[in-house]
Amino acid sequence: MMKIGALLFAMVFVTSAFGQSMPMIYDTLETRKQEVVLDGAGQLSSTAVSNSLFNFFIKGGEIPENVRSDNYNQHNDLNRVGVIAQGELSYINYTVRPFEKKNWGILVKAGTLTTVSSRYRSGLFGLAFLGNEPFLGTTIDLSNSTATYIGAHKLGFGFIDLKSKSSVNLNVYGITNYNHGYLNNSSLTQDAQGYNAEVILNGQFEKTSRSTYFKGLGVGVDANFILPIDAFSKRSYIQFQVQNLGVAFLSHKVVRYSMDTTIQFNGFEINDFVGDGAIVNNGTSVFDAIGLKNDTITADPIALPFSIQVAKIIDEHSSNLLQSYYGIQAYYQKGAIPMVYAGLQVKPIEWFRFGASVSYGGFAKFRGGLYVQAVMKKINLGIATTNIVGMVSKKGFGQAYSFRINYRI
Amino acid sequence: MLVKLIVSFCLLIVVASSCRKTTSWDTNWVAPLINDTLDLSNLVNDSTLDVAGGFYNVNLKRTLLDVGVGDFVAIPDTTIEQDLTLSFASITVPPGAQFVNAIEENTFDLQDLELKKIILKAGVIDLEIENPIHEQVKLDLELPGVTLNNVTLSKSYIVPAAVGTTPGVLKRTIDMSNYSIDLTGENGSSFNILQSKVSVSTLSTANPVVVTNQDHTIVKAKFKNVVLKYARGYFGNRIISDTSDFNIDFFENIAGGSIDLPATSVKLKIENSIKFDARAQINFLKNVNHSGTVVSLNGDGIGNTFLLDQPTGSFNSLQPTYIELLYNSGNSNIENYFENLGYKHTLAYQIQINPWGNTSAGWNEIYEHSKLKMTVEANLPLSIQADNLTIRDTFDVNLQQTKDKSRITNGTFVLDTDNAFPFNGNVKLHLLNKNKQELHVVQSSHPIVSSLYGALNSAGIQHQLSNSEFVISEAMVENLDKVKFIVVDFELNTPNPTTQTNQMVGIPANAFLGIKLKANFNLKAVI
Repeated sequence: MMKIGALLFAMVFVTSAFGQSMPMIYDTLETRKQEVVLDGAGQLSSTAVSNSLFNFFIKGGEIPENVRSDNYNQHNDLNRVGVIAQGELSYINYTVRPFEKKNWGILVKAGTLTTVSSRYRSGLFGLAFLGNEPFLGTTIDLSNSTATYIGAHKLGFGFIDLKSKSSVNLNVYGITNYNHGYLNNSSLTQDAQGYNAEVILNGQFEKTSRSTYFKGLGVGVDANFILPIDAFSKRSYIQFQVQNLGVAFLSHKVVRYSMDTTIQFNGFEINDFVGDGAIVNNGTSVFDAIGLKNDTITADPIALPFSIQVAKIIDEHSSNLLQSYYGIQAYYQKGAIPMVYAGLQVKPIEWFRFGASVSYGGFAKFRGGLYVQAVMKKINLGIATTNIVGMVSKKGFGQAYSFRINYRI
Repeated sequence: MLVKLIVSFCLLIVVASSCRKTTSWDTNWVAPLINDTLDLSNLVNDSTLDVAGGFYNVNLKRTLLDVGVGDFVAIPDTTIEQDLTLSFASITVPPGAQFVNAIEENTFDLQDLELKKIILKAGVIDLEIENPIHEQVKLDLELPGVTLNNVTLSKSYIVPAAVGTTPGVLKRTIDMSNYSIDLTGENGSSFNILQSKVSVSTLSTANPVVVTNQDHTIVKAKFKNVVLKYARGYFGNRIISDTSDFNIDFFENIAGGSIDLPATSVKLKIENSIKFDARAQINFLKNVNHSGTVVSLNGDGIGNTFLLDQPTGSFNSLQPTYIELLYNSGNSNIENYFENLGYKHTLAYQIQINPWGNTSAGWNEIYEHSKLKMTVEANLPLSIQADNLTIRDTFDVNLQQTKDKSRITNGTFVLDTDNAFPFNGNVKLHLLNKNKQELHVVQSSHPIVSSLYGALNSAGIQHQLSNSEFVISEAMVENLDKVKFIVVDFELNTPNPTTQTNQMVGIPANAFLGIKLKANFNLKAVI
C-alpha cells in the first residue's frame, strides 16, 4: 500500500519524462492525425540519503534518531541530492500543415517544472539533522556546498515531422520560484565543551523579493531529433533531445544575503545584558552580529534547468523480441553529474513490452530500472521506475517514477 | 477516457496533498552564552576601594556639597545708561571745542549684597554711543576706580555724525578680564557704585555746529557675562539650605537576608575658605532599604547648630578651616545605618551666612578658589558576614515560539564558575507572567562554592571551581510565550568551611568570579 502511495505521489507531484526510464518508442507510421500525450516523471535522488529518511518527508512523522544517524553515516565528504519533477500535456495535430512543402504538423504543450538540486558537505547534513552537539571538539567543513530551487510553468508551440517525429518547440516560462545559495570556504569549529566556537562563512543566498505567483519570465526551446543510423547490418535510431534550454529574467529584484566573515565567539559579557547598551535593547540582530549583508538587487538572468540527452531508442516496428537502448543525459543542475544508462526491452506480444535498465549519475550512484508498456490501437500506457531498490526498500537512495499516456486519433 | 484519467490525477493530487503530515526531528545544540570575569578592580583607586594587607578596604570619599564664589556673589548682566544734554538752551560749538563734560555714579542692583571691590575673571562691556549732532564728535570715556595694573580704564572714540533725525551710532566691546573695580563711589564709603566720566567735543576739522538742550548724547554700557575672581563687601544675611539624595543602586537589588559589618567609622568633613561668619546644621541623614525600612543616623552634629570659623590669610596664603564630625560604633548608630542596606540616602542641611549681620564692617571676602565644601569619608575593611543575603534583579523578556513550527522543546543551562570570593552563591530563576505571577521556578543543581573550600591557583589566589545546571523542562518551554519577566535571585552566604556557620570574611585583593554559561537545548525542526 505504501508503495502504491509513493508511486501515486510521484505520479502526482512529479511530472516529466526522462528518456532513460522509459525509452522512446519510435514509430515512423504516418497514419496519425492527432495525438494527445500526457507524460510525467519525477525523481528524488541522492548519493547518501536513503528512503528510510526520505519517506518521512513524503509521509510525515517524527524522524527517529537512529534513522538520522544511520543516514549521516552513509554520507561521504561531498554528497548530492536532487528533486526533478516535470510534467507535460501535449497536443499534436498532423493534419494542420503550416508549411506547404513540409510534412510538418503542429505541437502545442503546457507543462510544469520543479527542480531542487544540491551538493553539500556531510557536516551540513549533520548540523541540520543532528545539531552541533555531536560535533563538539571537531571542525565541520561546510565548503563547496550549493543549492538551487527553480519552479516554472511553461507553454510552448512548435512543429513536428510526421514521419521522423522530430520536433522543435519554442516555450515561454513563467517562473514561480527561484532560490539559490552557496557556501565557499566555510566551516564551524568548536571546542569539546562547547564554550568556544569559530565560524567561517563565505557565501551567498538569494531569493525573489516579492510574493507574487509569477516572479519572472523566460524563453527556451525543446528539441527532439531522431536520426537513423545503419551499423552492423542493421538500422538503429539515435535521439538527440534538448529540454528547457533557455534563460529567464526575474521581474522583481532579488534579496541577496552575502557574508565573508570569521567569527570567534565564546559568549557575551555580563554588561552586554544590562543597562541601556544591552544587546537585547540596542537593536543588534544576529544578522548584524555575523556580518551578513542584505542587499536588494536586480537579478542577473538565470539559466533554465535544461537537460541534454543522446540515446539509442526502441524501434516500434522491429520484430525482435529483444531490443537494447542506451544513452547519456546531462542536466544543467548544481550538484548533478552526467548520467549514463543502458537497458533491454522485451516484447513478448505485439501490444505489450517491458524492459530493464541500469544507470549511473545524475544525483545518484548505480540504480536499476524497470518499465512496462501497453501499446493498443488508440492508447499507449506506460509506467516506469529507474530506481528499483528505492521502490521496494528503505535502503534505496530515493525514488524515481514516470508515466506516459498517448491517445491517438 | 483521457479526460477521466486527467480528472483522476487531479483528484489524486488533492488527496495526497491534504493527507501529508508534518515531518519533524530533534536536534541537539550547544551554544556559548556568557564568558566573563567579575571583579572589583574597576572600583580600586577611584576613592572607593584600596588594598591593605592583601584584602580590600573601603576607602570612600564623596563630596556632598561644593559651593564657591559664583554661588555666593554674582554680578548679573547690567546696563548703565548716561543721557547727556546741555544745561542751557543752545550753543554754537566751534571746531575742536568741548560741549559736554559729566561725571556720574551708577548703581549695580545686587539685592542684599553690598560689594566694595570686585576683580573680574572674565566679562565684557558692550558700549553703544549715540551722537545727535550733524558733525563727527570725539567722546572720551573714563571709569574712575576701574583699573588694570593700576591704570584707570580710559577710552576715546570718534562717533559718526547724525543724519537727519537719526543719530550717529558707534558700538564697541571692552574686555574687562582682570580689571579691578572699586565700588565705593566718589566718597569712598558707599557700595555697589560705579563712577563714569564722559566728555564730548567736536573735531578740529569740523564746521561750527549748533547744539541745543534737545540734543541727547547717550552712552550705554552693558556689563555682560561677568565672572568674579575676588569680591569684598558684605555678603548679606542669607540661609543656604538643601535636601539632596544620593543612591547606592546596588542595594536596591537586595531582596532579603542580612549582613553584619565590622566596626565602622565615617567622617563628615566641612571645609570653609570664605571669609564670612557662618553657622551650619545637618538636619538629618537617613536611608531607606528595599523593604521600606528607614534608619536615620544619630550622632554629633545631627540636628545641632555649629559654627564655621573664618579662614586665615589672603589670596595665596588662604588657609581653610575644617570641622570634622566622626561617627563610629561608639558614638552613633553608624553600623545599623549601613546594615540597613539602604539604597536611597537623604541629607538635609542648612548654612546661614552672617547670622549676626554686618559685623565685619563690609569685609567679607571670597576668592576664586574659596569654597564651602562638605565631604563624607569612610575607611574600613571590606569585610562582611552574609546570611542568606539575597540580591534580586528582574529582566523583561518576550520569548515567542510557534508550536507547530520549528522550536526549542527543552534544554539545560550549564554554569561553570571559578570563584575567588569567600561567598557561597545559590541562583534561582523565577519565571513570571505579565501579572508577575510565578509560572515556574528554576533552581540551580549545585551552589557556586566559596573560595574558602578551594585551593590556591597559579597566581596564588584561593579559588574554587563549581558546576551547576538549570534544567528547562518541556512544561516550561510550553509556557515560554507567557513568560514576561525573569527574576534572578542570587543568595549569598559566607560559611566557615569547618563549622558551616556563616562568619565575617574579608575580600581578598584580586578576588574574581569567572563565569561561563552555555545552553544545551533540543531544537525540534518541523517542516
